[in-house]
Amino acid sequence: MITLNHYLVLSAALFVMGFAGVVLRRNALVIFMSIELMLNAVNLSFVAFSRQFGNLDGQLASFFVIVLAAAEAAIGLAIIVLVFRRRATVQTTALNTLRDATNAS
Amino acid sequence: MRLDVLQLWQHAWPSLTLLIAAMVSLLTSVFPSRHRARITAVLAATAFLLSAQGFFHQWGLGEAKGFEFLVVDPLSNYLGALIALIGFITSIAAYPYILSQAEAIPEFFSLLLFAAFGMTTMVMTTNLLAFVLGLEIMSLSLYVLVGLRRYDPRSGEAAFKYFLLGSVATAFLLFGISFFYGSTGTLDLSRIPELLPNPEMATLFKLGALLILLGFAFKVGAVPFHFWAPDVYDGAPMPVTGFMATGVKVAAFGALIRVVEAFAPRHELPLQRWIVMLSFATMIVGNLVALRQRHLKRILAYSSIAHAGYLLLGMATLVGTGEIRAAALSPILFYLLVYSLLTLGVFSVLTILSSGGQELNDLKDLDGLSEKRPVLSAVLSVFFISLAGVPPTAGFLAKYYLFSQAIQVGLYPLAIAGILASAVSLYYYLGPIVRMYFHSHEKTWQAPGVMASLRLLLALMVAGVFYLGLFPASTLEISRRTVPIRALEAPLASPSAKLP
Amino acid sequence: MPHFPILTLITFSPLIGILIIPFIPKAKESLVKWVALISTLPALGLAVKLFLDFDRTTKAIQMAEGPIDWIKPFHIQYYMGIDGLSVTMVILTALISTICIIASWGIEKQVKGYFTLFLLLETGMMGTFLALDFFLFFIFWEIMLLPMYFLIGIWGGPRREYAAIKFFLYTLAGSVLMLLVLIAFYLYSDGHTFNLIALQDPKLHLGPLSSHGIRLACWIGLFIAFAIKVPVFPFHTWLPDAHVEAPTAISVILAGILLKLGTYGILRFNYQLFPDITVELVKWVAVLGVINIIYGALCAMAQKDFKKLIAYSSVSHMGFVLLGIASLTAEGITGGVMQMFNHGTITAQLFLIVGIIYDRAHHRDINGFGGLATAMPKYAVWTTIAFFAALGLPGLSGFISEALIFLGSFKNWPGLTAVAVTSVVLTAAYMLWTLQRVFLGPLNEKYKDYPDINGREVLCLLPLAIIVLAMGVYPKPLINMMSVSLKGINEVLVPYGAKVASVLGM
Repeated sequence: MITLNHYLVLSAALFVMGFAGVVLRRNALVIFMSIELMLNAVNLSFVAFSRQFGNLDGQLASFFVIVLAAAEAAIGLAIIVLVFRRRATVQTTALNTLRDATNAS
Repeated sequence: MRLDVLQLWQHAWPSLTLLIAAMVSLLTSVFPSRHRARITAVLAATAFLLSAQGFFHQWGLGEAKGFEFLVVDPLSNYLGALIALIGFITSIAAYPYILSQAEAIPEFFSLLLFAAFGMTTMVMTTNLLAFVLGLEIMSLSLYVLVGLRRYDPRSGEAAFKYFLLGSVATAFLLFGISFFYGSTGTLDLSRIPELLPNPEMATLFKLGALLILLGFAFKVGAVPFHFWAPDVYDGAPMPVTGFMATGVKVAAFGALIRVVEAFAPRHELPLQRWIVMLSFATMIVGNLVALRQRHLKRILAYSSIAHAGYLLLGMATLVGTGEIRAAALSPILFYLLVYSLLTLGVFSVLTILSSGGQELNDLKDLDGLSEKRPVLSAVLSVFFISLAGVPPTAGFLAKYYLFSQAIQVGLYPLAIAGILASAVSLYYYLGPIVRMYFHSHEKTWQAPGVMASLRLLLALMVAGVFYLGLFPASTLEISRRTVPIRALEAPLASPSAKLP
Repeated sequence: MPHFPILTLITFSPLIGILIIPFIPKAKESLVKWVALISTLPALGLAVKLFLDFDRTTKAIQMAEGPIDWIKPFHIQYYMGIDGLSVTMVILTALISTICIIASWGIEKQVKGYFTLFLLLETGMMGTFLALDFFLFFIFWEIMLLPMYFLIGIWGGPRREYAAIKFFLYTLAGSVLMLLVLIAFYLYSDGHTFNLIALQDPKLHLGPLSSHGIRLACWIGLFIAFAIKVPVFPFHTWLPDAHVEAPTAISVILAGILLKLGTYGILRFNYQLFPDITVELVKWVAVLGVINIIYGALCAMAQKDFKKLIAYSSVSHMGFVLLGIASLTAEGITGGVMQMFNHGTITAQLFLIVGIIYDRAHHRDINGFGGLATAMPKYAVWTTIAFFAALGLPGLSGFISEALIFLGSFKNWPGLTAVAVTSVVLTAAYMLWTLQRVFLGPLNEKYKDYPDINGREVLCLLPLAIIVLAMGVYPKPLINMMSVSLKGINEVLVPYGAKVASVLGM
């Protein structure tokens, strides 16, 4: 039988994979997808807990998260497009204008 | 409980005013853009002022009322008024700047209103879901505001970094909230059950609390989650940086107060140790790294990180038993007020100087300013000196209040580290002053004259710096009477009985 | 009974000038100087009134204003008053400030800013000497810091930025220590009071403040804060830099008044709030004093820069003050405070004299002059008076205070005093050698046509010279004014095992 723990382990695995993607990948779109993965891990754990407690707060929360993810996608893709139009790349390594420049000025 | 719309409006109208004004301002797109900028600016300034007045009025009533999602209590009204005033000052100071941009961007004011609405929502709730909603309304507006100068690659890069890192932080926060929900069965901070369903849940609860705290640490720019702040501050348009440095801090710390208040009685959490460590690292790193910066906005970014460290020190005193907790809130609230005043003052002057179409960037850009713009230089110096905490200005008194509170509860090493760190800070705050006064003038200034309303505002702010430094008693009384809803429902201790 | 608020007026009357100066049109910049001069006059007049009205028979605080609640939630009060210790310093401050405004007449760069900061500085100095509330004292102490920083940093010499920042950082370090002690008093004094007079009662020191270790730490913290100002070896390195770079009038203020704040603070805080620790550590104060005397004199001897020489002579002379107050005799302490006053008047003259020659020659290399007595005979006379006063020639004021200090300290520290006395020879040596190098010998052709000292410069030097002569012949008015209070300070130490001695039966 599938218990709460199974859901949680899956959720944690998804979250960690998402975070690893954010840390390791250099392509902005892939990073963005990884963030979506993290948010879906959150959804999964909300729903699992909701079922455990038998109250609806968790399911409500997961709907909120879906809306948030959609809004973030709208803004985020716009920003990525903006950057792409200036630099013709979405590699994060290429975005290095802003940094602690203590000697250069 | 049925949501009574009329009653909600009655209590939360100052916040909803911002939302309505934001929506209305979007409708002005029928006008040509130059007129639009003026109309939205006036609309925003009016809405902010009205909202601030409303919050203050509500504060005066001293009521505490909980709705399904929202809470209206003196704490939320105090912070709400502060946020609205921050919005007001930003919108006045930014007006000439916005007009001076290559293409006037009237959306600035709409986004400002949306962001401020999000901030007020963050401080007006004990429900974590509503909090996240407010946080996202704020953050999404800010992502766009940061990237507002879209022809400027630095602005775009800042928005990009802020968006990616901010979203990750939100994900962590949400994951933490799901654990919180999983261990307590509720999303409301004020309804944490006395006993967790079973002991295993304690670990989950602890993990959830830690993740939530990490999310906050990111938003307030606490070390080691601060790395985004210098880049984003550096790339964002000047008025947006000022708004972020103040508004986001007030909102995030306001919400953090509620979180700490809720977690403080939970003995399973080593909450104080966590906050002390964060505060220590933040004060030290923020101040030391600031010393090495050459860019004006990066200095201010690290300065705002350092100030987050001082505020976290205040948060560490908030973890304690009833009486200590009741006394610990007022220094934090007073500090938030003073910090916002000073930081906005600095950014208002810098925004004026950037209104010539050219963004102030390097410290060198200030060379010899005192000869060309003596009044603005003097005003800017006052704000910098006060940020460093030199008496008899407000900055000193606020720090004094905060540090003496920390010493009183026995956080000696932290308080002494804070005092030393803030002594170090004087050095980098003097940097711009040295540039303005000791170095000779090289380039020509293009910044236009200052409009009368902005002059008046700056004069009032400077007066405020000295007023709060020399005659703070009445303001201290206000901060002392500002208590969260729980303290009102079940008084832990009369807040005025225990003076620090 | 509300009486004439003379102390508040003395402190804040210079601010009247600050309110007027911004509204003077740029075309009439000389008016700024007149306004500044006139706004220092009320304080000078009131200082004279203080001198006349001061009750010389009591050690109690006089003409007190307050304590009135100022920031009530923090128990901070507005409390000002004078006793024999502060009254001399207030008179000195009023006098030197007015003289320095006259000495600043040549300032041409950012005139408004200069005089505004100057007047603010005067308010800060006055307030520091008059405040009897720890917090109020701290505020005034900090108010002095920034004007001084800017005055050195904007109007100073070529290395002004470095000198200003160094001065600032040293003083700031001291302020931080003082702040920590301040917070300790706030938290652990009975009734959270900052009232310095009430706090002299050890019964108000509660909790950690009554434990020996914390008291020791507080004493040392305060001592370092004040020692940096004095400056006591090894905290003195900011002083030569600041003096060399500062404009003349600011050097005068720095040496004439600001250094005194250090020793004033030691007497007001260390001696009166922590008499027990003072008795315990007073020996080291005496040792530091002697180090200052000898080290300062030796360094002065090695200098080629005229101004640096005077700066090091200040270090040496302030060592006398330390030795005097560490003597724990009525004579020694009286001599110490008198030395503070005398050093203020004498060193002010010395720096003015350096300024006068620098204005003409644009350098300060002692070896680069020579034979100036032929070209500027009047200038030579003024210089000789000041130099002789500085080396302690009998008949001039410096002699009286040094003699009192040696008399007093010999009673308790004979060995140290013996070492210190050798400095009389050293001082005479570097002073006379300098006189010789600058004024005697063949006249350098370059300096043949230099105008002699002018009326404005005489106006600065004359009052100081008169005081030096008068106090040398008839020091009684000054000694009477402070001896009762200082004796009181000394007697407080008796219950803690101090062997308080009196040599002359004062």
